[in-house]
Amino acid sequence: MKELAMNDLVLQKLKEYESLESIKPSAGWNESLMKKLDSARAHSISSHSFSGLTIAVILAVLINLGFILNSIIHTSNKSLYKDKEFQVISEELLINPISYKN
Amino acid sequence: MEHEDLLRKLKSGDKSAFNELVILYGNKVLNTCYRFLLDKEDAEDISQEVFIEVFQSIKTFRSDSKLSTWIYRIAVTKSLDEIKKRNRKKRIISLGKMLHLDDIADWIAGGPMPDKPIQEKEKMDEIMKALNTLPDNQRVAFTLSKLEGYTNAEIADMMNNTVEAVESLLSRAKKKVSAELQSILKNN
Repeated sequence: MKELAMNDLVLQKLKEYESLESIKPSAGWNESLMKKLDSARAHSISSHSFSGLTIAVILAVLINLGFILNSIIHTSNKSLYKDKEFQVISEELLINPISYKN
Repeated sequence: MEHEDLLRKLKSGDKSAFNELVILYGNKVLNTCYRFLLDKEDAEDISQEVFIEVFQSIKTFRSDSKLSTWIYRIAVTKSLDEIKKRNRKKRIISLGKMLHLDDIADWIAGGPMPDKPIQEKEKMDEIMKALNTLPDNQRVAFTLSKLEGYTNAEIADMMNNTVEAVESLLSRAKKKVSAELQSILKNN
């Protein structure tokens, strides 16, 4: 008997759930959704421009790095060349680096 | 507005197309969320999140499924996430109460549980508890099948499954919910 009553109660609960009526959105729902969509749109535009700016900054840094590396390589080449030149001149003038130091 | 035309306008970010989309699917999305959450206020918030997600991801929509199916799938995922968030909050709060750390538990859980007026959620407390015991796929199939307008084929499409698999999920879910309801009602 108890089991039957329990089954009825379960069925009743399931029916309550099944017969749950549809709801309608509140008055301000649409308006607040549109506001949220506008702010999402604005956010996506600003994040787009932010990512553009980020790319530009990264490019500028890379170009600068390229210039710096280029100038380092050229300077070291030049200094090597100059060292050689000095060596030749010192040999021609018979200057001994040790005697020069002394 | 034709479906393809609407989709094209949505992808180009046309505001009027979004208004059209909300008019077309707003009610169904809201009621889908409501079936899962059994709380009108939460359903309204989550359904808004659904449309924002649609807006943000529409460019990645590849028309593999119908636009409506894709939107309802987002609604189901968001509702399940919200349920998980709620359950996590409840667990943290009850743990906090056990340890007499109510304030800290509230803070960790992201604020106190709101004291809402008694409504469907409370009235449906037992069925909610029974639904919480179902695995996600059974819960989705069961909940959607109780919502007017969804056929098993549509549910299968939403779940990336076959109609037969959905039928089997439904039958298992019904059995489990009935058994859980019995045990919950016995303990009350």
